[in-house]
Amino acid sequence: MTGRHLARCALWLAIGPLAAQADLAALVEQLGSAEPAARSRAYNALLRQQGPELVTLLGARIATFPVEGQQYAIYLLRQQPIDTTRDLYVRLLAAERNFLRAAAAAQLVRHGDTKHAPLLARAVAAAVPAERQFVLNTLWGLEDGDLAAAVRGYLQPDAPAPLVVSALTHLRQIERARTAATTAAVQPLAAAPAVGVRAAALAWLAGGDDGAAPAKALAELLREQPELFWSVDALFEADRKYPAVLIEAFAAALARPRSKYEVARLAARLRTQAPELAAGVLRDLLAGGAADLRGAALEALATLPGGLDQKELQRLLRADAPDLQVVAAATLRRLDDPSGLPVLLELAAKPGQHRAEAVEALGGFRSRAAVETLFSALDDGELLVRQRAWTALHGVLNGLFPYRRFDFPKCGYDPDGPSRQAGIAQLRAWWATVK
Amino acid sequence: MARKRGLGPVWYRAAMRGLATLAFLVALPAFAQGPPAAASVTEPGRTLLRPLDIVLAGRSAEATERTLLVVVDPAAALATAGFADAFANALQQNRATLARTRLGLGIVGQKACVVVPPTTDHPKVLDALRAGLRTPAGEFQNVYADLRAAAAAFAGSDGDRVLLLVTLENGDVEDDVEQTAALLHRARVRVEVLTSEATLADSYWAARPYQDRPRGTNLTGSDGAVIDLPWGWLFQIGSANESTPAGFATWGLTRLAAATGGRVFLHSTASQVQHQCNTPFARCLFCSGDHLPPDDHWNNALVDQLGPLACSRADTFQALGDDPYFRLTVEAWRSAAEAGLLHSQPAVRVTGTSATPDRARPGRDLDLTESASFERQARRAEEAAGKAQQLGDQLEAQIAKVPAGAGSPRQQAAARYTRVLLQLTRVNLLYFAAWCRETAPGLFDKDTPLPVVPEVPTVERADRPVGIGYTNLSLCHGVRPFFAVELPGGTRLHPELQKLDAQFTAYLARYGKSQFGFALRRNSIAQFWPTFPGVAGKLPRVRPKTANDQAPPITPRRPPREGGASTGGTGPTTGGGR
Repeated sequence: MTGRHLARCALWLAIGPLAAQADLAALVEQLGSAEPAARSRAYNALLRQQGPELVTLLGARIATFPVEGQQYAIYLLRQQPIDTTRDLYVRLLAAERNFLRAAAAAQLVRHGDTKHAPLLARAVAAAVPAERQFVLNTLWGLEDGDLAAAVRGYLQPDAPAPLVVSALTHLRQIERARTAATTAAVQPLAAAPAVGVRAAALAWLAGGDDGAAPAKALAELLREQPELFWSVDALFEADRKYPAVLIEAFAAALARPRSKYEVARLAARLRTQAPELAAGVLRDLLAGGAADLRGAALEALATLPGGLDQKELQRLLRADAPDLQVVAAATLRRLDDPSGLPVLLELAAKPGQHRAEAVEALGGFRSRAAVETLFSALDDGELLVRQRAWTALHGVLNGLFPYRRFDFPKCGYDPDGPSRQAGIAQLRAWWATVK
Repeated sequence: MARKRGLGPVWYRAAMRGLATLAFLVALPAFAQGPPAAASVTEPGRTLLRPLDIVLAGRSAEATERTLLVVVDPAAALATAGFADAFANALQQNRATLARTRLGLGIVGQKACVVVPPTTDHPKVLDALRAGLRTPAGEFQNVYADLRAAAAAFAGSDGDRVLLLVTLENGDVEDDVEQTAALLHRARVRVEVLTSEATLADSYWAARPYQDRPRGTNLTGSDGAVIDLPWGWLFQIGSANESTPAGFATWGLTRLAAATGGRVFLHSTASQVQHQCNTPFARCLFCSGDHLPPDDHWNNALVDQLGPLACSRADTFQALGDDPYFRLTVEAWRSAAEAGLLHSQPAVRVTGTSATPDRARPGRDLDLTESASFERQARRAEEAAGKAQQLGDQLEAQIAKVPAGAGSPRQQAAARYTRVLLQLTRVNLLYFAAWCRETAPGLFDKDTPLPVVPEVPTVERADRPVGIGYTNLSLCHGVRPFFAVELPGGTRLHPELQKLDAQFTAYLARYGKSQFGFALRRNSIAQFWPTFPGVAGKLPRVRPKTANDQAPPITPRRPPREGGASTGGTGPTTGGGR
């Protein structure tokens, strides 16, 4: 090594940390950007950073950020040990913006400094409308009467519907049981001009004492505007038995789904409330719905007590409809019946839209027979198939070899990478040593 | 005038003989049926509406003189389930038959229990019920003591006397069940119970004798008066007896209903019915939480047949003492515990033809995991595996000798379960020995070649291990899927796994759609790994007392159950399967 090399090394050792520090500062600065994508990129880049430097930099700049950037900064501070952030939180208790005061107080209360609870309630109550959604996001895991009263203040007829839904969701967590005070605060919202707010209030009231009338009103609203269901879905409680009129409205929405995700979600809601009703609607979808809805209906039917029997699934497995065959094979596997495996191996190799689903379903089988097919799918022309095959392979190998430890990225395969052959060859080489 | 004994008018003697014959004929079926079973008092269904409707409507289609005291144990789950609304609904629907019913309300945990003495002002009772449910209680509550106190509310009341006890959580806090039953029986009070499902032969509190409880009570929780299914098997983290829904209520509550001519209604919340292979202590290799076990829908007739007795604890012991299967189970359980295959011993002593309660003793500790002397541990495990085989074969032979029709179906299921668990424990011991001999030394051998990527070494530490740890791989999907899994000992141990599969499959073919089949699936194949010395962390500084310190509650709070399906505080559930 020449003297010049040594000098370069020394320079690098000297300026390396400084350069890293400068990068960190630039990323923190970007959190305050007015552009949402830049803020999001900076946040993702900072997520893995640990250490007092980040806390110092965030502390120095957080007050100047817009509230969206401040929220990111608070999320990042939560990743740090409380010993390194406590002083900053204490400093933020005197911040100008209510969001920062609330977020800092919430974090301190969460770590046992309960004397800040009154300040937290005051900051929550004083938050301006533009801050309120962000303030609610800081309140998870806290239970306090004054805090509930402050959140109740957000329940205004002219508030945005998502804020009302979020406030009610938080109130359920803060208060644990329904209180008369919250019910009284919600009742006026049932006549609010905004239909979203009205729906949220009715959804809340439908689950309480004397829920029949609000349930009826909500059912009428849902019949007119089925999409409202998705904005208030979070307010329905899993263990609550709802009036029949509302259940029928859910079933009506299930009969006209816009996507397969809606089928799964509504069926899950109805599974506990009225499984027979749900089964009837799902059978209709299975018989006459669009291709992707039929698969979702079949999956949902399988989760209902008595929804599908093995004989029916075996018949669907032999049907000339790859999408249904895939779901039938996956459902049979869930019933401890592996007879769909050969069908899936065949379908995964066959061209068609169903391949990604077939490969994903193959990942549910802990079978050595699936491994070679999954290796082949790793080099499929379609990115989605490659991604599903990669995920499926992890599940299969971890299941088949519980005493071995894998570090899959080490083999250099990336489903989205330009060259995949080396990674696949590495996997095959490993497979040859164990199969 | 004195009358000579046994003498009297001819018509009188003839009438007495007739009465005696009649009494004998009436009593004969009762003797032939044997002791009362929980199945005879447990109603089907899991909803709130049906039991309220049945109890409030009464036994007559017309309004009759009646006193109905509703005693509610205000758990959070009861409020969430909409009990107050369901009650209001039932009041409305049955207002005609309730016209002459005096309705009262008791809240468990309140002084003297009764908060609204029986009255015809039904809305007042409903208002008090709603108020009572607004402040859910989280403490252990002695419902039996409160029922004794509440019995006074029936004094002087005419007509039918009914007490509806609604308790989802505290049936397991037992004090004197028989005294409570006798007092209520004397007061002519019929006890109807609405409660949550118990755990099959629940051993949860037996495994945690240190738990604080209200003075004068015992924590039990089993569906039967006695824990009649061996628990604490070697290498099983968390016992199947702690998470298997029984299909019945806790014994104490069932007993109250049976002794007073009442019924038991079970309630479960909607979110409890979702199946989960994974427990906090066992992971499933074969699914990601989407398993739909084919045995999920239970066979009601089978569940009833395998239900516990509803007689007193003393009578239960007497009945069990006569049961050949129970005697075999207890004998095998004790021998297995002495061999270190279980860490519990039966709290029952079987002598001659009777069974008596015994002090609960721990089983022998084989000390297999406390040191990393792999060879020595492997030898010990193989010895214990031999003993498991011997006990299993012996139990199987003895079961085969029991004459047909002898013993109860429940005790037969328990004996056969014990047989399968002995083989499972043998398999786990053999895997343990194979891991100690073949896998573990290689983990620390510097000459072991590095695995081919993407596999990486399992252990990346230079220091020596200090012991052996284990986790559990759930048997929820059965034994057969494990044939494809790479386990210590390789294919050499497959015959033992196949033997287990045969026993497992045969057991499920017979008991799969019942509580006993469910219990079998809650067991696991063990997975082993070396343990290392812990790194001592900095202990937190003991701070002086501050205003933030909370005084401990006088009545101990009920801690959430670890590992079972009852974290919601309302017990496990078959999901309305019966």
